[in-house]
Amino acid sequence: MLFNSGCKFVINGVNQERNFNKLCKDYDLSDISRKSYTHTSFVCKISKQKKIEKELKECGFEIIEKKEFGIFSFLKNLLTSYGLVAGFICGLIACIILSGFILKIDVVGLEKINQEEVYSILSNQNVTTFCKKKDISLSSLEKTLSKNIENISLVSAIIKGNTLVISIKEKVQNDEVDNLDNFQPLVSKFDGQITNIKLVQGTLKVNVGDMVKVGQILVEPYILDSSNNKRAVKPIAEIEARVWQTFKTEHKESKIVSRRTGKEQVVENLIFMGLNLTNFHNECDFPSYELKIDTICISNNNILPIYRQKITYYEMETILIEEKFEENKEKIFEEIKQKALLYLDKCDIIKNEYFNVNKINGQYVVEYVVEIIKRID
Amino acid sequence: MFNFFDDLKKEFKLQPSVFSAFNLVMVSTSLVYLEGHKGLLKLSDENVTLRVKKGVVCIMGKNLKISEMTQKTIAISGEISKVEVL
Repeated sequence: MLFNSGCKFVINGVNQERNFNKLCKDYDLSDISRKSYTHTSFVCKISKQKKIEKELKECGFEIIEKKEFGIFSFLKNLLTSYGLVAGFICGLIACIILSGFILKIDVVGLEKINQEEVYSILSNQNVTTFCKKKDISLSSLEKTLSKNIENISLVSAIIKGNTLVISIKEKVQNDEVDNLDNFQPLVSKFDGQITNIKLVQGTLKVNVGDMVKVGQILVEPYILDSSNNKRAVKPIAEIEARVWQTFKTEHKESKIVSRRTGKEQVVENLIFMGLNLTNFHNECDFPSYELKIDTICISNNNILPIYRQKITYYEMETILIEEKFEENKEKIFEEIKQKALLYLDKCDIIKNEYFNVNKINGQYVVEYVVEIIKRID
Repeated sequence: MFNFFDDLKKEFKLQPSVFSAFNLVMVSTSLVYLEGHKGLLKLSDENVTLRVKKGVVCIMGKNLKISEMTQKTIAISGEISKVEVL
């Protein structure tokens, strides 16, 4: 129906047959259908409709309905819609005019460089939105940008439609350049014998089986390239070593200790501005004692700084304690072991442990030696 | 509109004497094609009458309408029940 164009007439009048006999001599008619005695509809070509209409009127027929259909009718209606045509023409003209201007500037690929910096350089070159495309020299724009902005390794400018696309590739700042000569070598934190090395980067200065001391360099902060030049890198390695750690304690079989007997004596004083207001007897009757002084402010303000001082004397006695080493050996070993374990890290692997006992000047010196595998880097 | 009988003459190389003043062909009961009519005498839903040389062709049926009409040919469609040549 869309491509089969035509014009449908519905006419009113008498003597229809004679009319169609006359019309069919000059025109091709189709779909002739008589709806009633006086009403008939038929279809003719669009190009012939005006002539047919004229002839029908001359013959005294009343045209009740006239309807065009098909693509030619649609195009005809479209072209006779003057507002629409005018709008289309105006839009077309606007598009043609605007196609010569830059409507948008896109800057892509920025990470560290500020976008405003790029825009300011572009505006200095008279490259802004609504500037003419033909006034922009892309090659000179690229040169200007790469010259004025540091850290640009590559810049390209293209015009895509009405958009100026500035694509910038920034320079990659690697650690080797930034931290040249700032890297410190990896040194040993413990004395020990190296058992395992996992070098990530740097130059290794030790081997498995080497004995190392605290502060000894394990990995140097550089690598040698193919030209035998040093290139600085951050030294990274996992180095494990067998470390012997010694913990020492002394044991005397007889020792004199001082302890409280349980007796105590309490003296209370009132102190005002450093002066003792009471006149009590402050001397203690114990031959040997230790004291404890508690001071409490009574007035709770600084206007009258009156303090109550409580001195407690504890009587002390001196006794001789005898502990045989052989009888307490296990207890001493366990105590020194527990103390030693406090100093070890959680990830340390204990490989071996032993005790050394020496008697020097009447006292026993107990050494607890623990052999562990731990990271020394 | 195509001329059925002209195509027939060309295809089978028939002599013109084979064809009379008017020629009529009926396609099932839904279409009648007639060549050589001299005009429309009556047009209604149930009856279409055409004048031909030395006679009249009367087509009867229901919902009849003229599908195509030129000076010499005519095609009538609808539920055709009878075609009479008088």
